[in-house]
Amino acid sequence: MTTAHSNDPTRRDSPYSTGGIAEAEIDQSTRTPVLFFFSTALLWLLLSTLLSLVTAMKLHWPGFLDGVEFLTYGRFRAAAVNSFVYGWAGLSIIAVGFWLLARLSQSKLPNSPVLLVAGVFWNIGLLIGIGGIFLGDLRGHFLLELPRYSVPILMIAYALVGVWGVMAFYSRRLRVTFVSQWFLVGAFFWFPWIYSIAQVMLFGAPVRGTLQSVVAAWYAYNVYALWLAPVALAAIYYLLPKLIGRPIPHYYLASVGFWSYALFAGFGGVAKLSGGPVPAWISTAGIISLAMLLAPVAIFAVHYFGTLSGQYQKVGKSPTLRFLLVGIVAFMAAQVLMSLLAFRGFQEVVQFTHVQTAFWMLCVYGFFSMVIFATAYFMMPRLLGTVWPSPTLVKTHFWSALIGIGLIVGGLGLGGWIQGARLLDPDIAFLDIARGTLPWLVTASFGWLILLIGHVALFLNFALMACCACLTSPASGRESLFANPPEMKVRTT
Amino acid sequence: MKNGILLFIGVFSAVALSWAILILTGFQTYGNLRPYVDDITGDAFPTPMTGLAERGRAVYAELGCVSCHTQQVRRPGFGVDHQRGWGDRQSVARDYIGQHQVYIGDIRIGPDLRNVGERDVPEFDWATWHHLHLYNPRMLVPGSLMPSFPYLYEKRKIVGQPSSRALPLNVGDGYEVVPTERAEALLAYLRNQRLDYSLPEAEDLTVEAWERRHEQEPE
Repeated sequence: MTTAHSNDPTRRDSPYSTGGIAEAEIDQSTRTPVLFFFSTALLWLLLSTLLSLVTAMKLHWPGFLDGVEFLTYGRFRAAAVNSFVYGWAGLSIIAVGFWLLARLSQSKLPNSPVLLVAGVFWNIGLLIGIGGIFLGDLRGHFLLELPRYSVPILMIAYALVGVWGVMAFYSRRLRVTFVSQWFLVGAFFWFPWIYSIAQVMLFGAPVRGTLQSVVAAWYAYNVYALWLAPVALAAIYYLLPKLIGRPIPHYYLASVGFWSYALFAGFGGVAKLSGGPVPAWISTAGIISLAMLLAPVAIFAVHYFGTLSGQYQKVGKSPTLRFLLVGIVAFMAAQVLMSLLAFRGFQEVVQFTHVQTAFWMLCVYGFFSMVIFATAYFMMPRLLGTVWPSPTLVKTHFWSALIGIGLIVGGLGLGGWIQGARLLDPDIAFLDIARGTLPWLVTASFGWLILLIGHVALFLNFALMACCACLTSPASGRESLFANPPEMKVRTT
Repeated sequence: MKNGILLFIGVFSAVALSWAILILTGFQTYGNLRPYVDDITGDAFPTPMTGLAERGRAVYAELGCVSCHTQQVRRPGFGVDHQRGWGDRQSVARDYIGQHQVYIGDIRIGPDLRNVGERDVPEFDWATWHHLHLYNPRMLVPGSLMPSFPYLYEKRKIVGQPSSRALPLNVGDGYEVVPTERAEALLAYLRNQRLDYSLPEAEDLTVEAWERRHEQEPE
């Protein structure tokens, strides 16, 4: 275990010596695949936002696009969620992951079309899968709705990505590894593992009875906890000290944080099976592990807020930091609330209500997506050698994202709690309770609309930026534009 | 952490542990449940699904019903499922062993369906009410938020005698609305969702047991 932190690479004899590859050169080697993955991820984000908006509207307006089979609510929801997770999240994870891995390893990404081929396969597989959902080939487990025939394509694509990830990790020039790398290696490895298990145990050779529900709950939560979250945590660990310009305090706790997170996160998903048709010890294991997860979360809090402490004035100046801070706060809030509400007294109220959707959005949007946005705002100028063309669009994106997610999480969380409390009163008819949630559902729809505005702003800004980069010569000025402060320079002699 | 291999082994073990403990142990403890056979009558519960119901299960999946409906009754005392008429006992693992794919769901935008096959309907007979409700929910339940599923039904010209399966709907002279095979399959699947038998492991999870316990407790 190393106790060194990532920002003390100045000693001459240190294992951080890199042999002199400039950051710009490393970025250059990742440029094509990262741009490809991130731009397609953005297209999926736009699509999934649009689908989610329709899904949200259908909940309070059942006559909207009603009576046509391929437009029915269940298919819209499956398409929206899957294009978000496997399109936006999956592809942006690969973009951000490879950029971070290359930088952290201080080595260039091996130049090869393999990654691009993988990206094309992934996009095609997903396109076929989402189309299949609308045509009615969806399957009935959350996040596993993609039809049978799209799964092999996705798996082949991911295998190519995974091989490349391992190679990038092994070709590292630095002997030491950082906590960001552990999270990235974990995420790249965990996803194919849980995905294949879920495919085999639910569809290939389905296990019997409600053991399927255990597998499905385990998988669905781990998509977030062992795939999306680790990449976002890695990005925070990388960006935060860089942007604030000071090392992470108590960095030696990082390995404890990482390993305890890895150990407990896998159990968290089954907590929601409380009172369900599975043995009680299974949900108990989930509840305990969610409580234990507070230990690594506390370590992350010490690291993040310790780095930030006294430096909050910097947050107003940097869009990256602003997004990052929202992501960090959302992560902490989600983990604490999740652990708390897992207890059976609370589960009696919030189980099966819109609170579940609020949690999901807080995790995958408030935390994960916000951190990815932050990374993109930092990464893209360095890859393209030009600045974001419109600060107004950046601001529009930030405030839309913040207000939108606030409306969705707040509306569904509060409305869901009221819904759950009223469900416990048998004198109130079910239909009255369902109709009672309508104002909250309308609030959430507005939230989605605002998110859509924000995503369009991001997309426009990104497209403009890419055009600018094409028009100007790529090499000029990058070094001076994005030079690190002198105290963060890696000494190479 | 200088050794990449160690990192891989650790990462692998972390997720393997949750898999082994939750899923493998779960498989060992209840992965091979058999139907419960009543000693006196010789009947086995739960009864297996018919072929039609199994096709209905596929319809349930492809319409995404699971995104709004659960299929799990919580025990009396944990929520008020029984007072809502969703079932008089908790649904337990053995209730699901006859189902090829299990959709217990996780959100109740609509009511629970685990016991829908046994539940009374306010008018018509069970099948007719559910057909009409699927065809247009707001016709029977004003203000309902459920989508309608008219494409599971066929509006056709009456040739000769009206069909005996036609829904009691007035859709214009000479026309009738009849359920398609998919609608019949879906209803067979829903009809199969019932908890009208008792299982030894569920005896403590019934309304009667709960009320008994309630009476014994000092106020």
